[in-house]
Amino acid sequence: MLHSVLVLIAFQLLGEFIQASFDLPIHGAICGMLLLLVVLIIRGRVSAPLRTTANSLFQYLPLILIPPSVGVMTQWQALTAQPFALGAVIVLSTAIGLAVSGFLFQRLARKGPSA
Amino acid sequence: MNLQAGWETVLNSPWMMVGMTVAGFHIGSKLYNHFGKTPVLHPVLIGLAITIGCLVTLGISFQEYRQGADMIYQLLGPVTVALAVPMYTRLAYIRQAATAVTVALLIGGGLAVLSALGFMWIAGADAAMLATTSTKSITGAIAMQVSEGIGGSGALAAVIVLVTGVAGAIVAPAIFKALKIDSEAAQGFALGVSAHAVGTARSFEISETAGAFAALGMSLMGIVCAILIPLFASFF
Repeated sequence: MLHSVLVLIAFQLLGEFIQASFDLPIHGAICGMLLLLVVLIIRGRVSAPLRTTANSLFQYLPLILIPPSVGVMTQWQALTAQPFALGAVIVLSTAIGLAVSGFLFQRLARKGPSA
Repeated sequence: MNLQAGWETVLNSPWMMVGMTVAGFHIGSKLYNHFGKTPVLHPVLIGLAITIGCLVTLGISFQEYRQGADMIYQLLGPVTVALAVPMYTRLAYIRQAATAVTVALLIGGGLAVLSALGFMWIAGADAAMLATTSTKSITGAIAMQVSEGIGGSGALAAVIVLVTGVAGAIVAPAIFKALKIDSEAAQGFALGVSAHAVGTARSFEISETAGAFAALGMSLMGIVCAILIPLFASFF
């Protein structure tokens, strides 16, 4: 458990290091996530403790999302300036995404040999 | 005895901020489970509303809250890194339908983002708002950090992402019916790509297969957007 926590912290720090060194427009944590993904793909497996640690952290992911989201109270204007337009844009573009990706997936998966 | 001083101390304690956040989320989760997990009562949405409500009532500014809740805030980093683990596991599902996955992801997911950007541009949104909107279809933790990385707002991204997820989960059944999308894998994949974690939760209610493909769609969308959005943004 502690070992896996250290692995996650190490990749977080590595991500921060790379982000700052190359001045990338990606957050350090995202960088660390992509690096860990590459390492897992190369190794071809996930250790059981790392999986357990990740899963226990995910239980609290929704909670962790609340503090950064509270910042929206300082951006009330951006949200409420055109609430109807913003809502319509979100619903419409999401509907387009659902329709196109669902339709294409069904069409192509049926033609495929393994689906 | 100075009750005033005691009350002041409690109001400024970091545990006050942490406490109201955990309480808000706890109440949100209870409501969500009690009302059959309807997406409108998403625990983060309710928790967020309760937390902001507490802050406004008690007259605590966002800066004070941000400082106090920092211990929760900092966890976002390592938890985001940990997302690589489920992503890796889900990549195995690609082999079952590689062409369908690739095409549906790039065209469907791409159109979801581009159409949102197009509509926002027509509505006269500024660069920061466009940057924020571009992350609408990615799961919250990633969206927030991608948005901040390219000059958008993390907090606003989180709210737009939540609304996207809730909207997607609600309109999906009608769209699937209208277009006769009856394959569970296709339904799940579409929900994962377009409505991230909320859509994935919904897909697991359809079936295990739908849920697995939703999780795959959400992961791939997260990976592709985390790489492509900052790349495209750097040209502007």
